[in-house]
Amino acid sequence: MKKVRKTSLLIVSAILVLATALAGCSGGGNGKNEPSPSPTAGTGSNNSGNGDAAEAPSDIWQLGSEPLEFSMYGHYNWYDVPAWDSTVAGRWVKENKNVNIVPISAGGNPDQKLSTMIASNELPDVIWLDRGADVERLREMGMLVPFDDYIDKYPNLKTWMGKDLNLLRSSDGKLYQFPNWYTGRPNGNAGYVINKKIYDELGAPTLETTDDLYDYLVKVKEKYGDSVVPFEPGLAKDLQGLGVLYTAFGENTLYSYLNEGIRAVPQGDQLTSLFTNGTFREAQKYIAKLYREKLISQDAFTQTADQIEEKVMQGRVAVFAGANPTVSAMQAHQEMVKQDPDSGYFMIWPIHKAGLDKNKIFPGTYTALGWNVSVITTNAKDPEKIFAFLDWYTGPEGQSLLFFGPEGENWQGFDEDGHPIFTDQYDADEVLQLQKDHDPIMWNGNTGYIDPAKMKYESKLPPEEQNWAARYQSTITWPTQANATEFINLNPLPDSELGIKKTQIDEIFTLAYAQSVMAKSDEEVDKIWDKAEKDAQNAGYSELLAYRTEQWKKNKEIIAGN
Amino acid sequence: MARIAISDRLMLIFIYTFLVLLSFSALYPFWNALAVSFNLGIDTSKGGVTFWPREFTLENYEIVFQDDRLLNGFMISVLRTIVGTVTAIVMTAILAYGMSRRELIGRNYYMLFFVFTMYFGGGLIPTYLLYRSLGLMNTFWVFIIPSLIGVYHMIIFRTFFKSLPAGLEESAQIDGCSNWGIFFRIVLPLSGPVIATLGLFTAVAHWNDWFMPSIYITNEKLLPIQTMLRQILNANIVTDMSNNLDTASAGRIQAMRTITTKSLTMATMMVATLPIVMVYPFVQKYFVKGVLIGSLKE
Repeated sequence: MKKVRKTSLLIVSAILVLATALAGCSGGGNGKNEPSPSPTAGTGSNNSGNGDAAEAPSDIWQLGSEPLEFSMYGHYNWYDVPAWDSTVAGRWVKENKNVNIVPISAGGNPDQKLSTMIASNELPDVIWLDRGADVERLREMGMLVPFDDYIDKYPNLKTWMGKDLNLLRSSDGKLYQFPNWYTGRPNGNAGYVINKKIYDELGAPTLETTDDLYDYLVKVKEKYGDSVVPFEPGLAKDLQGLGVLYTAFGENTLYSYLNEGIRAVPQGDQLTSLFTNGTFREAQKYIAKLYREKLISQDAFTQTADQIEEKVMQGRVAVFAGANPTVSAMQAHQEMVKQDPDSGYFMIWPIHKAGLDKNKIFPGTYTALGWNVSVITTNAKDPEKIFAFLDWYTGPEGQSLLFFGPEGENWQGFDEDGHPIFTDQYDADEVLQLQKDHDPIMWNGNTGYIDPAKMKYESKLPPEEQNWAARYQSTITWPTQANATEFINLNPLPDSELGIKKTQIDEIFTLAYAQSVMAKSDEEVDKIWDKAEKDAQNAGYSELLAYRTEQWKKNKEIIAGN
Repeated sequence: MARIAISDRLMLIFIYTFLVLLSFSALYPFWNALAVSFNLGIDTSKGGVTFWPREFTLENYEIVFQDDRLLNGFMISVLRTIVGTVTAIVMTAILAYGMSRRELIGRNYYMLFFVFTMYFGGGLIPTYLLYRSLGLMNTFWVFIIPSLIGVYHMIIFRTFFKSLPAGLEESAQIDGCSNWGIFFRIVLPLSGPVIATLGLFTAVAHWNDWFMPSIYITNEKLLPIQTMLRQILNANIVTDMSNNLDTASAGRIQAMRTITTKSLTMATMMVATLPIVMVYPFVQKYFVKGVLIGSLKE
C-alpha cells in the first residue's frame, strides 16, 4: 500500500511540475489562431492598395470604389461605438461609400480590455483615445501605422489643420494621431451666465468689473437670503467657476494656468511659480472674501454635478460660472421660459478687474489639437484605405453629413467658402436631433470648418430665435477663449521621477487651493500660499518648472517654424 | 395570557423601531430609484423627488423596452442565466456524485487538484489566452462553458450526497438500477433544497456578471444588460475633468456624456434588477420542504 501511495504521489507531483512548466514556457505568443471578428472584405486584387512610399499620386484610392470594412474601438469607460447602421450618417455612408464599421465595445472596462487585446495581438483596426501615455505605449510596441505617406495623398487633414499638424508628431518624428475637434479658430463655452429674472428685479445694474460683481452679489444676498445662491462656481473641486474668476484679474491670464497640466504662469520666456504669482494671490483673496461673506455657495467643494444641475434648473442661482456652463444653462433656460417668458438665463461679457482692457480677458481656452485622436493599428489590413475614409470624414462632405444630414435634404451644394448651402426645407429641430444622434460617431471633428457653417444659418435669424448656445457662442464665448496650444504636452511621464514629484506638487496645490478659498482673511491667504510654495519647492517644483519651460519652448518653435 | 414585563416590552419596542429604521435605510435608495424611474426626466433634474414620482410617466420604460440594444441585452441575460444555471447545476452535481463514491480510485488526488484551483488562478491575461485558443471568444458559450463547474458548489453537493443513507442506493442497486438511474431518479430529487440554494447563487452570479462580457465579447448583440448598464452609469458620473488642458475640450466631453437623464438610468437599473429579485420568493419554498420523505428510517 505504501509503495502505491508513494508512486502515485510521485506521478501527481510530476504532472504538477510539468503543467507549471508548460504554462510558463508557452507564453503569450500564439497569435496564430485568428478568430478575428471582422473579416475585411476589401482585400480584392489591387496591389496599389498598400500605399508604399515613392508611388505616383495616380494611385490615390477613391473612397467608395471598393467595399471597405474595419473595426473601431473607443477607449473610454463611458463610451461604446454604436452600431454603424443605427444612425442616419452611418447608413448613408454604408450605402453610398460602401464603408462598414464593426464596433468593438469596451464594455465599461477599457484598461483591461486594451491590455487583453495587446496581449493577444488582436487589436482593433482603429482606436479612438486620448492623446498621451496610451498612444505612446502602443507606438513604442510598434503597433501603430504612421500616416506620413498618406497625408499628401488625402489632403483634407493637412488643409484644415495646417502647420499645427506638426504638434501631433511623436518623438520619432512621425505622425500617428488623427485629431478630433482640431481647429484654428477659437471655440469653447467658458464664461458667466446670469439669471435674468433676478437681474431684472435688482434693477439691471452694470456687471463689468469685479467690484460690480461684488456689489451685485451682496445685493442678491440681501434680497433673497438663503433661497438663492449668489455665485455658483460649479464643480469647484475641478476649479470651474473659480478658475474663470481668476482670469478676471489679469490681462491674458488663462484658466489653464491652474490646470494640472501647467500649474505655472509664463513670464517673459520662463514658466514661473503659480503659488507666488501676484495676480493669482489677488484672485484668491477676492474669492476668499466672497466665500467668507457666503456669496459663494458654501458646499462648493463637496457638491456633485447633480446638485448643481438642480440649482440651475430651478433658477436658484444668480451668477453661474464655469468651463462649460452653457449645457445646463441652455436646458434650464428652455424649461424656465416655458413657465415664465421673462425668466431664463443670458451670458455677459467676461468680468474684469477695474482698469484692465476688457478685450484681453479670456475665461476659457482651446487648443489647435482639439480633444482626442484616432490611431490606426498594425492589425488593419488596409491602413491607407482607412486613412482615406477618415480624411473624407473630416472634410466638408463628411462633416456636413454629420452635422446637417445627407445632401439634398437640409442642404445642397457648397458655397464659395466650402460651407453647405442651406435649402428651404432646412428643419432646425431635425438638425439639432441629428447632431445629438451623431455625437457618438464624430471621431474627427473639424471645428474650423463646421463652426462657421453652423453660424451661417444662425446669423440669418433674429437673436431671440437663435439657438441659445449658438447665440452666446458667437457673440460672447468664442471671442473670449484664448489659444493655449503652446502649453500642451508639458507633463513628464507618470512613472518617471519627475512625474512622481509632479503628483506630490499637485496634491499640495489642491489642498492649498481649498484652504485658501476658505481662509478667514487676506493675510491668511498669503500665509497659506507661502507655505504651499515652500512645500512645493521642497518637492521639486523648480525642476518641474524648468522641464515645462523647455517643453514649452519646443512647442513654440514647432508652431512658429515648420 | 402571558404578561410581558414592562422592561421587556420597552426592549421589544426599541428593537422593533431599530429594525424598522435599519430596513428603511436599506430599502429607501431602491425605493427612490423606483420613484425616479417613473418620473419625467427633465423634472428629475430639478431635484427633490423622494418617495413618489412628481410627474408620473411611463416614457422611461418605453424608451428602455423600445431600445433594441437594451432589450437584446435583457434577452441575453435571461438566456444566459437559465441555460448557465441549469447546465452548471447538472454538471456540478454529476461531478460531486462521482466524488462522493467511496469506490472512486484516486479520489483524494482529484480533490487536491480541485481545491488547488480554488486558491490559485492564472490571472486575466492567461485566462484570456486560454479562452481564445478554445475558440470561445465573442460567442455565447463563453458565458456557459467556463462556469460549468464550481468547486465550492461541488464540495457542498458532495457533502450532502455523502450524508444520504447508503441503504437508499444499495436498495436501488439490488433492484437493478444503473448508476445514472440512481443519480437521476433517487439522489437528485432528494437534493431539492441544495439545488435550490446553489441554483439561486449561480443564477444571481450569472445575472450580475458584467466583467466577463466586457473583456471577451466585442459583438454588441451578445452583451448582457449589466454591461450596458455599467456603461450608462459611467456616462453619468462626471469624473475629474481638470486633466484637460483647455476648457473647449472639457466642454466637448461634457456635451457627449450627459445624454442619459437620471430617470432613464434608473429605469434601466430597474429592468436589470427586478427580475432576479422576483425569483427569490418562488425559490424560498424549496428551502423549507422536508428532506427524505418516506424513505428509510435509520
